[in-house]
Amino acid sequence: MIYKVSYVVLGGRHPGAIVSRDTPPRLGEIVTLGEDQFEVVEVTDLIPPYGDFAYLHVTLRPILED
Amino acid sequence: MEELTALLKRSDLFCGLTEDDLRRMVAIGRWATYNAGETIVREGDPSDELYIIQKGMVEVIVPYGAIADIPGPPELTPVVQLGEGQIFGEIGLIDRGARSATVRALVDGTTVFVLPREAFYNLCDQNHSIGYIVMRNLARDLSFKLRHRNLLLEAGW
Repeated sequence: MIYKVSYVVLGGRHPGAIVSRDTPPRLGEIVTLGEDQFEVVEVTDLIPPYGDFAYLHVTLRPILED
Repeated sequence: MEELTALLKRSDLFCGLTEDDLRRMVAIGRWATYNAGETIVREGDPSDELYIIQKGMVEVIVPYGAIADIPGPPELTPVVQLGEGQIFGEIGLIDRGARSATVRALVDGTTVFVLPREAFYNLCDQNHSIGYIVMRNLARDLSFKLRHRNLLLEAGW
């Protein structure tokens, strides 16, 4: 299965991303988009799966460096 | 050839096509590689190609806040980043209008598979099964992007 993921970042400072990945996103996982890192805080189905593809929505929270 | 068709299988644009169909797609397309910051398509330019990202990442940007009486280029605002398996250029491919956004590579070595519109349409005309499957997948991709955009707006982007 290939997971097509819609990433939306809380806070309005990142345009979000659409990427395909081989493993499903998990709550608490750290995701890197460009040079920035984010934490997965929500995973939902966006549209039903089709063929070998699953379509997911992921909400991300920025990881703020100290 | 099998390596190339395997790459196309990682994009849902080609979901449902047979190995033979995929080989036909590979035969009409070409591959191109870009470095970070390089522009792949520019807003307002004529559009005659569809792009599928095989490796790397791109950023889709549009001018916001453009005021005709103020000289200088408008501020460019990113609206989404697209990674492996994603497509862009589909709007111009479908409606034949000018490019609706600028797309540039975000990382070195970003590689795209480029499908010229006329060759793509010819293939779809010659084989309606391919045409139906790919157009259905294109519609699903546009639906996915619209839903993504709605969620982005809800999140305050």
